[in-house]
Amino acid sequence: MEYAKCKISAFQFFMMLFLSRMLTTVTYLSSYTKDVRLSDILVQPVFRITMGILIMLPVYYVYKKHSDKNVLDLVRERNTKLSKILSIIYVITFFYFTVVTIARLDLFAGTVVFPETDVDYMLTFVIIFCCYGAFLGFEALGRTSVLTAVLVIPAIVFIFVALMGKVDLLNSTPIFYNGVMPVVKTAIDSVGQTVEYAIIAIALPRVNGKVKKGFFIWLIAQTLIMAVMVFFTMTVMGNYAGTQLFPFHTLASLAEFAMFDRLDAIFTGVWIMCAFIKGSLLIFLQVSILRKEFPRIKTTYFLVASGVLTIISGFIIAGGIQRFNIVDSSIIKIILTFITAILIPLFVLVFCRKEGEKCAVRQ
Amino acid sequence: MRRASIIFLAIIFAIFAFNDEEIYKKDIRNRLVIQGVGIDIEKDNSYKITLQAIDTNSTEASSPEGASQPPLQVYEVTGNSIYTAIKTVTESEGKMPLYSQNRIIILGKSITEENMDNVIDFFVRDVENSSSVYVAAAEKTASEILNTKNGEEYVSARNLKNSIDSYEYDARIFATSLYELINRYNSGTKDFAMPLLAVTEKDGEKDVEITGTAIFNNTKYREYISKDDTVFLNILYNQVNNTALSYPTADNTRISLNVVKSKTQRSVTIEKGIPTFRIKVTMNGDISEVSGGVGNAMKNSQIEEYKKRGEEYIEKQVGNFISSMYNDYESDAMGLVRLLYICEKDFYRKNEKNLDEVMKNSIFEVECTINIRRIGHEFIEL
Repeated sequence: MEYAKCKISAFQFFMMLFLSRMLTTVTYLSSYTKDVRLSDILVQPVFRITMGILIMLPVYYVYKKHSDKNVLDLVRERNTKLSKILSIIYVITFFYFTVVTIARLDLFAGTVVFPETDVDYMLTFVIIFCCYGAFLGFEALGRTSVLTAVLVIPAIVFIFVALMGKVDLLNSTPIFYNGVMPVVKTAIDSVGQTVEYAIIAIALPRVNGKVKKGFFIWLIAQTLIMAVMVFFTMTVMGNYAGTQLFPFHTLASLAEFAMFDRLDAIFTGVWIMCAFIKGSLLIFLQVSILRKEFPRIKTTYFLVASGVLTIISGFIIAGGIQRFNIVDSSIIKIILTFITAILIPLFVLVFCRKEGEKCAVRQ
Repeated sequence: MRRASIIFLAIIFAIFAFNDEEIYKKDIRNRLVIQGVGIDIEKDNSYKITLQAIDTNSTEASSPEGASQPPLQVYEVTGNSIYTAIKTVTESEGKMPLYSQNRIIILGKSITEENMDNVIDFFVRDVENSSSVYVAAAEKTASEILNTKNGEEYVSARNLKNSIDSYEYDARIFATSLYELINRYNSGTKDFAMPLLAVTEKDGEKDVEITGTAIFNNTKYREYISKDDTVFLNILYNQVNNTALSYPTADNTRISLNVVKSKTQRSVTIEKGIPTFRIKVTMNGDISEVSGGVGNAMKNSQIEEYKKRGEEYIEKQVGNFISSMYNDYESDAMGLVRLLYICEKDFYRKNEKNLDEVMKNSIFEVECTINIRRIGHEFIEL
């Protein structure tokens, strides 16, 4: 298999990112909903879309000039040592987000789904699946994402429809009751947790088709779905949302439609499917970056190493809520996203320009 | 690729094979399927928990013939906390309680009058609790409610849940789920309402009935209102789907109206420093009964008169109800303070510490519009 060279369509790629982002959305912890008020949610998408566009500007300029190379390829052509350092930063970022995804899944499964059962075996199971997904490659993941989206999107819409009857606007709050800052802070917090920007920076050269259009549709869709989810959470559950570890899961458990009720089972299915896509994609990216930097080592070794390290780290972090709180910190995520999605692409832009000037002088 | 797939499948099977114990733990026969939880406080301040559970040891063959429900068992346990008390059942029965299937939480008078704060956390924190489980107050003790036998069988928690469910067809019943209770509990006023259960006796047969609605002020039980008054609470909550209303006309004819649809719109403005609440009730209903007029033809003017009387009745009763809630019980169980918070945030912020007085002095304008949809089999005289 040409592990490092296959390409997918823009539709498949952004569908994959949509599911990946969907996981972050549905696993938001209750701390998110504490400061944000219903009326603020109507304003927040504007902040998030603007920030998303600004973040992606450096990556866009790199892509515009060199559409067949990512930021690491460009550095590698000029300085292999530097490219190794930058690659390690990306691998650490993707590894961190994989571990956090798995640890959150552990927290969810161990708290809500099987509270009295040791869920370690289930997580091992999920990570093995993710490694297998990563082993199959980018194309297979792209196709699986489209199929998964066909199941996930109607499921989410069905949950929303089932919640319509429970909406009570009396649970809402006044516009900017706590000022503008909580809204901006939550928007930064939310955007900072978007590892998908770093994924775009690395994987964009592997995508065919209308990338710009796909990006805007993805950005708007994931922002709006977040707003709709928070809208339902606030208007259905009100202050109760703040007491729940996973408010969106509780929301799904309240959904009723005709003979169907307790739709949290659907939600759990959505979560696990999205976790599989996200985990597979992140492991795939780690492996493909390492493979390029260390071509002599076999892909399988990287896959096994990544899987084993994820399992071990996931268990250590998810084993104690205090450890989880420290590792799952939004500051770490914001720093990593800032470095990988903004700083490195900006650096590469400047670096390539200077190197290009040197080349021109030499010639 | 094929080799990798085989290894992958082998690992998955191995994981399942080594976890048969976990699967065994989930066996329903090893669980105590809780249907109702009752909580009281003993004199020594310990919690007395009454659990009504399905007897999973009984097979269909051993159930009494013609039994309308699965055999039930009632367990009473005590402990320093609700959680430790519930866990003691495992020691005595050798089964783990499964209360995700719980239908109702009943709070005894000793809890609702004094100790709500100590009880609520368990139901929020413990993840097995369903958010949509109903919460009700007992007139005396929760234990009495769950131990009541009607003939040979316990009055089941499932039946109590079904009775509360009937709020959808009968606005004289008020329903509160756990998530709604916590939502109100964490709101500014901490005022809320829940159905009140009591043991009744008729011809020597005991039963449990919903006798009205318990009104709470700042998390403490304040008073109960009758089922007839509960209709007005539900109207203010915009929680009336289908119900019967009965009201007199000027000549003492009693009209029964079958309300098939009702919508309540609430708004508030500050006029001369005083909040003015406008409550607009719109109802669609059928006249189902007119006392003392069998077979009489009904004129349009009569229908108009009945409609007008109905509107006046609702306006007057809802107005009186609001007044009595704020002046007599000092309770915002209807959630109008929340409306003030949303619509007039500056006023709310300024008067946050003095809301009881603000609400007592507020103006409430109730406007009702009834659309008489049908008048039954009687013909209309043109």
